[in-house]
Amino acid sequence: MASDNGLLSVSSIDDVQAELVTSSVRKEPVHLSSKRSRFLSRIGIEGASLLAGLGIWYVIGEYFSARLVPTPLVVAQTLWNLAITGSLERNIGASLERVLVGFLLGLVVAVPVGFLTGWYSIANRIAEPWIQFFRTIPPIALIPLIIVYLGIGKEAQISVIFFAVFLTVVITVHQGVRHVDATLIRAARVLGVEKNSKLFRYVILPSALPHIFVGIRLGLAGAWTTLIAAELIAAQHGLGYMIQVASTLFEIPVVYAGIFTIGVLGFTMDRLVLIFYRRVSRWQDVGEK
Amino acid sequence: MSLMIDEPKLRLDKIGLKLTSAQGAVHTVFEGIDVSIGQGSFVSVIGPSGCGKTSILNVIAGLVKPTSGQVLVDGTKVQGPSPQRGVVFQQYALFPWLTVRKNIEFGIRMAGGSSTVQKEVSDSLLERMGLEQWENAFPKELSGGMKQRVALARAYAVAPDILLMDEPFGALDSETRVRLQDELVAMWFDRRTTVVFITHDIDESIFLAERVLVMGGSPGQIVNDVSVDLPYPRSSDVRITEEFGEIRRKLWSALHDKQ
Ligand SMILES: Nc1ncnc2c1ncn2[C@@H]1O[C@H](COP(=O)(O)OP(=O)(O)OP(=O)(O)O)[C@@H](O)[C@H]1O
Ligand SMILES: [Mg+2]
Repeated sequence: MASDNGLLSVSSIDDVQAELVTSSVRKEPVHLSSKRSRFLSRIGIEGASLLAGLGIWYVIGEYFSARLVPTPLVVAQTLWNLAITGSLERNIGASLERVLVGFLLGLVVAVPVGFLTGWYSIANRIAEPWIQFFRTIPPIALIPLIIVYLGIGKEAQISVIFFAVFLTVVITVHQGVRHVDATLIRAARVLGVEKNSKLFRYVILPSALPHIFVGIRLGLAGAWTTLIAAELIAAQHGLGYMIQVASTLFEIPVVYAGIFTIGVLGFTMDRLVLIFYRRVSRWQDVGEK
Repeated sequence: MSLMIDEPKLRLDKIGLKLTSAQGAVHTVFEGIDVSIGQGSFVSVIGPSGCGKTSILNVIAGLVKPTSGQVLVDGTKVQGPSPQRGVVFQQYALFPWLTVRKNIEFGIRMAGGSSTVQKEVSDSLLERMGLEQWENAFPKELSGGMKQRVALARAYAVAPDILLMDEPFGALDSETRVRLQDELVAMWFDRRTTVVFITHDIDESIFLAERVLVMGGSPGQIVNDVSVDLPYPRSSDVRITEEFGEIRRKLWSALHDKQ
């Protein structure tokens, strides 16, 4: 499976794939309970876990000075104050814009490239060494160079995110295409699919969809990581910038507020992707993966 | 049953297939296969595992090019796959992301058939195969027998002239198998499709077909060509008749001589 001349066999991708798949139809203990109460009990457990985490944070915060480790209440108050002045919204807006634009650009370029390298071995031969080479370079290492060429505006940050997302997604799409069952391609051919464009649309794309979603999730996580790093190093807006400025002024609650906001945004986006994924992958045979 | 007109429906003109492994070794899968199959006939192909049955089917389907000889359909050389030659694969090969109904409609959709036509055809096949309650199920929710029925319906939906079937009932329990065999014969009777049916079950090969080709040897060859003159419709009692036993013995020795 990994021994072909494919682009990679990165275990982390398989892990995420496994997680994606298992979490999409988790085996719940089957009581006589309805679907809804099962849903509630699951939300209940997740909610309790989150509450417990907040509680621990609260206890630790109480123990230290509020200037060093603020409690959740202090952070909430800080977020409120930041929101009133509008600076929180401005920074969230700036970061979100960069993440989304960089991510979408990366996705739009990576999907066709991944299809080409996965399908045509000549394309794979041409692209593979480049992708492998750049994969070993953390996108963050490119930031200084990008600052020189593009400055510290949003173009610079979007470029780094694009780069990070492209490399992640291209590999998962490539893998997805290579894992398409050859018999399904034959079945489509004998049912009258002649053009490759039709084959892509009706067979390869749906087959590769689970892999593409793994790429989307990994890419989104990578986009956030890269963006915050870029904003910490050099930016004029954004959550990373807000954290950076606050830390030089020793406004630790603002640093916490920034980190918390990043976490909430990243988590929410991931959940949205997951919900969408579950909708489009009802057909997946979980037991086999 | 089959009326042999001057031109056979399907002709395998001295076809052979050599495969080159990654190490460069050349392996001859089969060679010198020369068979004519008449319009509307039901031919089964029997042979031990690995003798090249699936490979021959792929060549007839146009999915694999023979390295020698040619396949002719109505006298025209086969250049590639076509919906005119339907295939039921050894491993079902249903599209897992499509529902039962959408799987059945796939071929018509690819041919640009309107949604009214798609629905008409799939409605009648769903009914015929007893799959009405399963029209919105995904393949993962089906038993092996149901999957095979969907595969059969999907192949039938595009009304092929020739139906190529690769051990379609191999993995089923005997009861389901008998039911699907009956359905298949009934469909064939209705439509007069030319059927090439691969199996490694001697009884099945006799029960279904008008003619049994026995494959064997390495490289694979046709070692015997036996006609089955039992009238249709055949009930399961036919298996205990004298003629059936005679053919069974003939096939058995053909299969076991040439090893
Ligand atoms: N893609 C391939 N590359 C190399 N060898 C192959 C390939 N496909 C089939 N073969 C070889 O060709 C021979 C015939 O295979 P084939 O699948 O046609 O047999 P079969 O008669 O259908 O067997 P079974 O009854 O088990 O399905 C086998 O020896 C197999 O190893
Ligand atoms: Mg086979």
